[in-house]
Amino acid sequence: MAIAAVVVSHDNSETVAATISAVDSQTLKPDLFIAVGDFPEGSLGAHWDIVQNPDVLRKSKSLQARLLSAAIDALPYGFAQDAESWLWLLTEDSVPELTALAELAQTIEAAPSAALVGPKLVRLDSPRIIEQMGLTLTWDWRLFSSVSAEFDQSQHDETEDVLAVATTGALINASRYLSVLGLRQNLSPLAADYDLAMRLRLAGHRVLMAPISKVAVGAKTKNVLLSSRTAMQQRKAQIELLSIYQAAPIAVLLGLFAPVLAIFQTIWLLLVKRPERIWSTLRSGIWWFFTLPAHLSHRSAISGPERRGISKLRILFASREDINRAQRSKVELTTEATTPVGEPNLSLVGSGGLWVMALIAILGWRFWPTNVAVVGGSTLPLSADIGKVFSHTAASWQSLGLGMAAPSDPFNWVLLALASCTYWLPTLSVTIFFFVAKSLAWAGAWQALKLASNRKSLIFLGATSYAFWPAVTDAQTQGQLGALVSLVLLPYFVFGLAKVLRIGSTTNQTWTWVGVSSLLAAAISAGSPSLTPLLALVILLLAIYRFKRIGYLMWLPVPLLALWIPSAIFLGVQHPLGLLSDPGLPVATVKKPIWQFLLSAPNGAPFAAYSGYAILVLLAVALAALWRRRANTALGLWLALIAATAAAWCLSQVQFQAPTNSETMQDWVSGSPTPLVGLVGLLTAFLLVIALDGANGLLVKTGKTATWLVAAALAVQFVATPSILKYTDGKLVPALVVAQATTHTQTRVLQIEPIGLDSGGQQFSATLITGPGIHLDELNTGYRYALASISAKDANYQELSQLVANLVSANGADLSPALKKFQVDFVTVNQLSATDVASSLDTVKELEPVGVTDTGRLWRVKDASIPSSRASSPWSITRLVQISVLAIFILLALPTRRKTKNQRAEDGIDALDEGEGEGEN
Amino acid sequence: MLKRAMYSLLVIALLAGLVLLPSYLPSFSIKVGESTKAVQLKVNAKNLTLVCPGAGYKSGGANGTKVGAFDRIGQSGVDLNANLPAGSKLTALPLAGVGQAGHPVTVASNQVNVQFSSDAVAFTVSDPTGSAQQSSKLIAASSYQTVSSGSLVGTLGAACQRPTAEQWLLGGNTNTGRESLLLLSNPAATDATVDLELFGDQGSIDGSGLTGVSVPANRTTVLPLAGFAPDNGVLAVHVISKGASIASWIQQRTVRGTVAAGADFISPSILAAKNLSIPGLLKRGTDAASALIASNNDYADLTPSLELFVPGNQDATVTAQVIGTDSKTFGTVVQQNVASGKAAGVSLPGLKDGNYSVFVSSDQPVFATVQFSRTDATKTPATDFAWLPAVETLTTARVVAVSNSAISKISLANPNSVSVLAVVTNLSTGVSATVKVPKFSSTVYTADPGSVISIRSDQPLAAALVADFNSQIAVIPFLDYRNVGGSLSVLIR
Repeated sequence: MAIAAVVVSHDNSETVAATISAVDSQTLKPDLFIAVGDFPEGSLGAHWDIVQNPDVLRKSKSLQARLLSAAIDALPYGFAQDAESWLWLLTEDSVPELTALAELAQTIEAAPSAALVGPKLVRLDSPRIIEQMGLTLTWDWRLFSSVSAEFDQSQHDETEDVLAVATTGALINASRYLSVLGLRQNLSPLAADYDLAMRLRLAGHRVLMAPISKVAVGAKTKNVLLSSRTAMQQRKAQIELLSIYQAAPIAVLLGLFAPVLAIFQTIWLLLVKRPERIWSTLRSGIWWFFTLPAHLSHRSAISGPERRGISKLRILFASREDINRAQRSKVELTTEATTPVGEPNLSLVGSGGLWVMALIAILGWRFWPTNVAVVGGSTLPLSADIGKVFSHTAASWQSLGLGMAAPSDPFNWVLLALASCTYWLPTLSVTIFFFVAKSLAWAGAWQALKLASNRKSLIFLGATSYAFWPAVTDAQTQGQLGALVSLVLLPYFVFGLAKVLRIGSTTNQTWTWVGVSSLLAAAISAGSPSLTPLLALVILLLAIYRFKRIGYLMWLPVPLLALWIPSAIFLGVQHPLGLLSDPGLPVATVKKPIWQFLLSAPNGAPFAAYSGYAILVLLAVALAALWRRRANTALGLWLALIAATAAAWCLSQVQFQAPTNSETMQDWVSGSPTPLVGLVGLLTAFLLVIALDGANGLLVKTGKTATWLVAAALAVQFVATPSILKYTDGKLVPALVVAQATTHTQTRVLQIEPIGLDSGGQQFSATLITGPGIHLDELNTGYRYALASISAKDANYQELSQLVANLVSANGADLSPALKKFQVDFVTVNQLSATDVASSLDTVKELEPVGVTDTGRLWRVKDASIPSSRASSPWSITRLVQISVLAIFILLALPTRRKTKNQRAEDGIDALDEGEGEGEN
Repeated sequence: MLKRAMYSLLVIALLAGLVLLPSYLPSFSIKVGESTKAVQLKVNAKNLTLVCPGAGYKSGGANGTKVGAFDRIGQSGVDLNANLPAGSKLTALPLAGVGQAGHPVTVASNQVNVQFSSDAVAFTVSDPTGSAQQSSKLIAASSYQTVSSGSLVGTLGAACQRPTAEQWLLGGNTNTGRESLLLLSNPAATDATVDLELFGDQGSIDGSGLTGVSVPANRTTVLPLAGFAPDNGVLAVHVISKGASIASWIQQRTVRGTVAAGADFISPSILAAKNLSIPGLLKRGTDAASALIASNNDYADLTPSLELFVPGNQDATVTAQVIGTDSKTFGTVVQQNVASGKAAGVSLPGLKDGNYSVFVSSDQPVFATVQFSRTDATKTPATDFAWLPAVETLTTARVVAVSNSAISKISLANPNSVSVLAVVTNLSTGVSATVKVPKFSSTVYTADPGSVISIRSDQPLAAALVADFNSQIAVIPFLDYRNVGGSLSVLIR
């Protein structure tokens, strides 16, 4: 047996000296010493043959193949042709043990048919850890190493035959190497290693492991290890091997459909919380599609008879047990490292939280749905079917008035999510939500406050104070649906954010929490746009505080941006502050001094003058948090509280344009401070818990008692506060209109209302309603702000005004052309007291009186042509983009039970993620 | 310790700054968006029509026993004033009952006319150019009939009314000896279909025949309310018309035993409100009435009574103050809780002869009217009654034509907390008088017979004309009316 040791150095590295020294010190001396590349001066002895090959200095795909080729060229003539000539290939930073070569040779002697023998690759700085031992493939041709990053306890020393080995440190039979034409230069290095081994096997030779032989690999040689390869590199290698060795029809089909398969794999990666692999998956899928011919051309290297032997190679593929075993050895380490000892398990259910939630719901018994729809404040019923609610999300055309191109409000997605809960009757979900909102807010606060304390009584107390905080009560009793949604979701968002940032809690499912928090941020922002700037600032500050988590935090605003960008583009130039408008019907709010934002009671609450003192008590207790152990955290919370209060006051100084309401005569409404004051409530709850956590001195006991009393008082106040919500059957227009609109969606109703006397004249409002009424999901902020300009500039609006004037005056003018032009099918007057208008309309010859209905007086337009339903595609670019983004984050947010053993095995296959190299998802 | 103290001071300072700083900052307000401007338009209004009730109805046919037979008795007089601009035309269309519809007749304008008609009449001002400003100054008409026929004796008086699609009438009585006939007159060229809602002292009254009542074009339909709601001392009737706007009255008649004891028309009420003014309670013959009441309980309704009805579904607490015009006439105050959906009658006892007005205040919108009687033992019949409607308080000029065969007095009621100056002008002579009406009080002004009176004021004021036809009384409220039109603004939402 003649052995030529070939050492390759790329960059005159000093680490190669250890390799050289190790080779020189082998117990079994090689017969030839060949150095290829650039070596430090004086590092090589005279017995070394130096090969200067410019290829060595070039980092290229087929470097390894070229190195071997250069080494073989450097061998004496006939050496390579000798059946017993062997090449031992080493790179810089790979240091064989003194007996490595001897052990390899011993393995060859015991297995004369071996063509390739690989050593055990161990960690240079910690030889007890096996970096890699042999290479194989999984059933789906994923690259896999059965042994990777394990402690060496000789548990694998029985291994002999393997599918492949890394060529670094391996002993290669020169003649057999040449007989299979060596490493293929047109494959990637990883694939080339596998390909060589498999072709050697197909040629009847063996590829073995010599577990006793050890070669230590350092940082530079690490990149030849499978675990150090990027996901893209592994994927490319997998694709190349599949293309060569898989049955032709399958290889062709997989290549042709690679991009499509990549998309499905992306969905799977989201589900299994490996989003960092999505990019490589998509790239490789596209790469595969476009390089398919090239890959298929590599199949020619395998002859027909050889191809028939491929199925026999499968016995060397990794089995499920191998994968599980490999993962287990890694998972146990990871689990130990990440689960903190002694973290208490405060379960909502186990702590009796469900009973409290039920009690809170009982206290809000008057919100029990006595009918299917709820109206009041900013709330209207939703559209009658889920398809309509969906069609109003991300729409580019709004049917309000005469119709206009404008983006839908982001809040429509929240409405869709709610509507999906009672998909058979979407509006019922809103009704039920008002009933359970406080209970949900309590549960959310419970979850969030677990971050601050692990004492159940305190968490109960804090959650109760938040649930009954005046702003939360106000949002519920005054029908501010958007604010209520935001305040219910806010604590959950805080909890999710803490999970992402690893504040007060740890998790193995960071990506899940990224998904959850992103979606919650989008929902909160959609429900209460006024919260967005302050929350964004807080998140930015937290990102600076926990900069290492920036890789996760940067994904947080993605769904929010996807929802808001269309509205921002539409409103951004002319009315940028219009983005802060609350969704739903504009609701008038009273301007107050700033201190009243903190201390005021809900609208219409009894003992309103005294409730300020109650809140004062809570704030006083919250001040005590600055004297506790977590004073820094308390300071941060107080600063956020003050900022929120200031923001609420600033917002209340902003007047938002509102469509004139015939009942309130409001043209302008002040910004609603409810969401920001609700945020103040949450911050106060945290401060209370921090203040009362710890030793139970007299002051702490007094504070607890006072806080409990205040919470009870707030609860009583909630029960006694009147609600403006009314429960209806959801009909906004008479049943006759609803019936026609069910079959003809373009049915139009012209709703006329007198809105008081002008000096010397009369004023009327007119609303053109397409379909069965204007539902909550049809309201649109863009239309609201654009109406002033389009009604002034668009001649159609002038003509519509003239039609209304002629109708209410019943002066005998010919109204048929105008009624036909605007496709008016019905005319309605909601106010039954508007008898003058009704009297006039009764005498209009184009109208036929229907009578008094639940929603006012109704007239049908005679000879109205049945409007045709305009067929429109439910899809648009905006909707596609928003749905895609939301779907991605929903998949990310879905908690999947990590099949840790299998999953980790697959992690091990492409262990080096493009992002994180840690063991978590 | 120091750190925590610093933190506390910082937070307290920031809180103090938060509370105090805004008061030192200049106030600011940012407006986002533009308010939508209403489009100003000028449109011609529908021609103004006033419908007069016509002569009273006698029920029962010739012998008074025939069911469903209602015949007009005699003719009513219409005191009409029209002030038409050039190009306008006034037509009168009799609305015949069963039988032929009438034909329009052009009426001479710009003068006071006294027309006689048995049928209801619709007076219409045709204004093709749209130059006429619709109001009671353009046309004002009152209908009077002093009838004496069998059991129907008294003065039936009513202001001719603008037809509408919906009315509330408060004050019918279907007890023994009282008859209430609902008169529905349709001046339009299309038939009207009317639905009725009846409310008594026990609440809503259901029954067949209340819906889908046909009122043919240019005709009058008569319905006896006793057929739907017998033995009800007080009734509220809600008339809802579709197809055409109609005019409606209740003809109320009282018979005590065999003695006819007065009749009157009850006109539609103004919109329910929390504060109402009812001028015109000019009480006379109190002593004679007291003697009659003492002799026979059936005369109990000679005592003035306030009739109330609360629409909606919330009960009302109603306070009525009866205020005299001078220091010698002491009024009274009554308070009553009235259940929603129920009509109630509240007696106003203890009023001596004098001039009063009634001011009603309530915590819920209510309808209110006052029935009062005039008793003269020397006359036959000795009693007559009239219904005082709540009158809309206005400042703009409104006109009433005064009968030339009655002693007519104008009652001016001021519900304000300041005194009101009312300018009362006799349009016939051009003579104006400025009358000061003290705050929360009323004043009575005598109107010349046959004159046309216009009243305007600097503060909202309610006014009614009380006409005494030889101790038989009728009340005509000062109204203003116009159809929607003229200068309008429309706001598209």
